[in-house]
Amino acid sequence: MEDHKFANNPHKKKKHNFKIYIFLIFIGVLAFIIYSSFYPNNISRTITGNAVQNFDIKDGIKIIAELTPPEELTINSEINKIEIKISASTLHIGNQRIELPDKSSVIINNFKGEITFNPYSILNLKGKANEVFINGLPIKAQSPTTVSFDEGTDFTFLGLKELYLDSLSYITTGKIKLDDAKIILNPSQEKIEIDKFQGNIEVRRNTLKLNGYTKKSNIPKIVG
Amino acid sequence: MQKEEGKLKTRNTRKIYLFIYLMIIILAAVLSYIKYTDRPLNPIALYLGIGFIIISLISTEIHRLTHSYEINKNSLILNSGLIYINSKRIEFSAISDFEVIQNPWQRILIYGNIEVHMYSRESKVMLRNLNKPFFFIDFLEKNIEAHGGRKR
Repeated sequence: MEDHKFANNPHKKKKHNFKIYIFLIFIGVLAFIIYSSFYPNNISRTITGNAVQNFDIKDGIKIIAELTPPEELTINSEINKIEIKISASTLHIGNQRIELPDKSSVIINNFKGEITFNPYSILNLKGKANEVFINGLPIKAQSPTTVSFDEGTDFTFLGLKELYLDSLSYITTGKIKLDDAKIILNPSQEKIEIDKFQGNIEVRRNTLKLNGYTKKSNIPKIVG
Repeated sequence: MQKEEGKLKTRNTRKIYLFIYLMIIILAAVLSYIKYTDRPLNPIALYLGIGFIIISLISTEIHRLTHSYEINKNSLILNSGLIYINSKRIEFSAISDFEVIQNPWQRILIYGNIEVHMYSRESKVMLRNLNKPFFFIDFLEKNIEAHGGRKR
């Protein structure tokens, strides 16, 4: 006769199931961490829809700004249109490698990915796009295809249309017009903080132009 | 394993939680990598990761505390439970035989189960997941010989 308290576990199958549950929980947590970190846009949309990514334009206030650009800016968002006038570089579209001559114009439509730039160069552009125009000639793909530039592509103009920026905060000089110029700010080597910006950004000759909307509740933060 | 003069107290080895510790290390490494490379991290994911690590560590320790085994001068004592405690004392005179059972994994990590037979092979208790089971058996045998048990 076995002593049941200390004998072989009669619920061995249950114990195995318990281990499987723990492992599944671990896989779930790990997958969530990796997915939310490497695809942050997708996860926020999955959980909250577009509520976190964008905001209703009715809640927004017009913002137009002309500022000195930040030393480096990374945007990880869907961008409806990217326009770039670049000096010689190499563009990768899917498996294609395209050598671009000096003063080339590149337009990328429906871009989804990450772009990092400083006032003069695109440090990193990696993502997917449906359509790319090089000097006006279209390069279309059936499905979104990967687009990337060689690191450190110099540009003379960079236009990002219809994008969402969760926050922009840096020390700058320039002019900010809020609510159709009802509020005008002239920061001079002062820190500005703009949260939840939706609109267009242009970078040209050491100037960064913002044209879009920011949340109304964000005004006191910008005004300071 | 606590060893005093003629007395030995032990619990389940932590080696049985190696799989859980491995999961904790993987999670901690991934979280550290994300932090080190300045990647964005969803706060819910962060809390889930930290929660999993803390709960795993606490529950393994609680599970470990629920079983303890003690050899003293007269008997082998098996305790189970944390709030409701079940303590079983087996006098040396009742012990007729014991067996060490190890699977390959337990052999590699040097732990195993000990089956203690009382009077016959049918009546037995199992001491599960003990570190260095042969050392435990040697100690038990020496105590039985020194303090009087069944003649075998």
